[in-house]
Amino acid sequence: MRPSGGLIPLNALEHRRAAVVVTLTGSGAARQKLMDMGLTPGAHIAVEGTVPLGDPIIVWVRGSRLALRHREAAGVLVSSCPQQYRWGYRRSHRPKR
Amino acid sequence: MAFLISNAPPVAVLAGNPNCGKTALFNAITGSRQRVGNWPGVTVEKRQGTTTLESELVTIVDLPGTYTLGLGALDEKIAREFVVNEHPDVIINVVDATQLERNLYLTIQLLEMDIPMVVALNMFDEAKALDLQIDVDRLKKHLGIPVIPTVATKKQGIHELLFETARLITDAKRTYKHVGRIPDKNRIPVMKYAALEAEIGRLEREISLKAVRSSGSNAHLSLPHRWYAVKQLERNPNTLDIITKARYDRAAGIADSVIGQNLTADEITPSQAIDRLVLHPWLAYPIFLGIIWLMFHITFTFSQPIANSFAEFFAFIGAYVNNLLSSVGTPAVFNDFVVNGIIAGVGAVLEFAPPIFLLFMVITILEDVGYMARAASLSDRLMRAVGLHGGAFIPMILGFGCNVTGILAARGLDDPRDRLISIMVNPLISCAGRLPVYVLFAAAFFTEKRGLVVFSLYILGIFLAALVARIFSVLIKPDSASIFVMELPPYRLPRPGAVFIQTWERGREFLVKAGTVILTAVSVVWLLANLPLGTGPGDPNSYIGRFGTILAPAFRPAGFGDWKAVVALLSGIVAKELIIGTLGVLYGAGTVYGTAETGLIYAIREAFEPLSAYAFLVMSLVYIPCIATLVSIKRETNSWKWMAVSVVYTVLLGWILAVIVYQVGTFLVH
Ligand SMILES: Nc1nc2c(ncn2[C@@H]2O[C@H](COP(=O)(O)OP(=O)(O)O)[C@@H](O)[C@H]2O)c(=O)[nH]1
Repeated sequence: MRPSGGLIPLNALEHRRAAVVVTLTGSGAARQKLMDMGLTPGAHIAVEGTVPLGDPIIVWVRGSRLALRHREAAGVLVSSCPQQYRWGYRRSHRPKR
Repeated sequence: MAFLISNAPPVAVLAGNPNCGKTALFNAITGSRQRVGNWPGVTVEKRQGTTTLESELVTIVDLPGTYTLGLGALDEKIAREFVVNEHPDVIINVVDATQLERNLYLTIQLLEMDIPMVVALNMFDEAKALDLQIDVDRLKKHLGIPVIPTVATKKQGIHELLFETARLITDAKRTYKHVGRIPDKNRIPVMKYAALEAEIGRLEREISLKAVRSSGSNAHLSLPHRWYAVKQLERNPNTLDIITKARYDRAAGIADSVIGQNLTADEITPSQAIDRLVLHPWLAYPIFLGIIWLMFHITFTFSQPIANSFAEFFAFIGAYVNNLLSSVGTPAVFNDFVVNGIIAGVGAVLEFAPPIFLLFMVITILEDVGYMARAASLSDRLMRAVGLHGGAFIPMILGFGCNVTGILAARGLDDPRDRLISIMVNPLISCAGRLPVYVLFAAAFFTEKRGLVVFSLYILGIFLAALVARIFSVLIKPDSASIFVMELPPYRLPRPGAVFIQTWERGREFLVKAGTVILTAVSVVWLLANLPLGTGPGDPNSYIGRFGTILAPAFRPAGFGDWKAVVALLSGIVAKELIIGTLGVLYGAGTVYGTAETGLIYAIREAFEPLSAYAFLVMSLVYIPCIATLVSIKRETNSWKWMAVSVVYTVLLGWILAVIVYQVGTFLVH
């Protein structure tokens, strides 16, 4: 998977579209918490949907599902890939050597 | 190396991510030889147990589940500090085989501490079912430590795991005997931080130099100097970014190379399918409410018959002992103290037992199943409005039944600040114990609007809880990022055995610790109401009566400056239900609520007017939570200070509101 799209905030990403984290705009402990949960630059990610009332959103990253608020997701800039994300456990998605 | 120096048994710690099956593994290792407690100074649950390895006793400490050992949340700090300061002899790192990438991120950090370590590759059955084809040998090679596949719930692999643990302990001992100390292993570091290596090397030399200079030995630095060097770089946001990414990339690389199957299902996973229902746009909230209702029902309704039979039992025992003592001829005051002080006190404690055990059972099940994370996500929107986090909702709801259970349920919150605020505002939620007071006064003064009056008090409680939560959330600065990022773990079936063990341990610990304090408090109040000799609960000359008389003028602006009302409030501190009983005694209308109710209604109609009655109800709602609640606040925050804060703010708030009600009401009427 190769990112092709421009930079968009994670919460604006089309549901189920595969994407790659490019950068995080936040700072401090909040940023670190997101990174500790696996949202580091280069990580593959997709938005599965939202819970009722629209917030938080449900995100797939590193083989697990996270709920995170729009506010925090807005600080995660991603680049989308052409294909759809495939749910479930998968090996990491870096290009094959 | 605790055991090498002293004769204390060796210590093995369990470390791992949340939901990796650490508790299940802990249970499998220690069986019933375990205790739940708190980490010193904080409210996070600490589980500790023992097991026998090759006829040697080993202490097993369960570290809080964390994703990282960073500088952030409390759980991380506890886990990190325990390893750094206590220097356990072995780390058993529990890794969820179905979440290798995420779990290895922690594993790598643990490896950097260079403490003897073994990986329990847990959930191996699930990994097999997913056909991940994990190459265990290769994983072993990557990590350089033993890796044992386990299925904690079926006790598979436990034997091998303990065998490895014992071997690591023996090894450490042997090396120690030979060399006199644990040699610096000088192993190839697990993690290389390409661009940062030069800087790490420089810092490492600096740290070594300083260590040698300051003490002549490096004994006080229990971990490799490289680790301290990396920690130092973690304090700088820029380098921290690089380090975090490098570790995750390494974790992904390892996961990548040991997983045989590239499992990319096009269909949704089973948990996603369940979530289609549980998080369904229309059904999610009805289901949520249904589960909360069930939680209530189980906790309070099911426990009622048991609690009642306890109450009857203690009434019976009380009467029996009373007769016995009378026949022996001990002084009546002594008899009364034994029966109404001690026995009633024990009864009061045990009446709490059924709801508390049932509540812990329900919470344990919901945690085990994985619903708690969903409930938190569903209520996050609502709770955010008052500055809290989704997880704070369930404790609030439970507070309507009993504030003690609500406060205990706050254990489900990870963020210590959210947890503290939920605990502090919980007493403002109208518990079931206040209802009889509302009902009595409403019946006496607001005949046709009584439903509305009771309802208004409930709403007032909710409003105040939200308001005070908002205030606390502004006053208490978050010590970590209070952001909402929560893993939605896969749904799993609860296991009755594990639920039982955990319920029992949590409940037992609470009752033993809280019970002794409640008992003491009940006895003290009895003494105050019956001393000096010759006085009784209805007597203004008893200590409590004198106290009430002194305090009474303070409540004149609220319309109930009568010492009897004040004494009723004072005894309500023991349990809010007692307000009625006390009023009954004081107004000579019969002691027990229910039997002489009409008499009591008549009596309070004499003593109050509608406005002062409502002010009194507002005061009853807000002022000092009952002793059991106070004790829980103390227990759960592990701080007398916060208990004192809750006493002071509720008294002030209650008084101010009661005065406002009375004064504004009086003004409007005239
Ligand atoms: N299939 C399977 N389930 C497990 C295993 N170990 C734990 N579980 C389940 O995983 C869930 C989380 O386990 P728990 O011990 O509470 O995790 P903790 O949060 O790490 O303490 C529970 O529902 C357990 O029953 C395992 O080896 N295999």
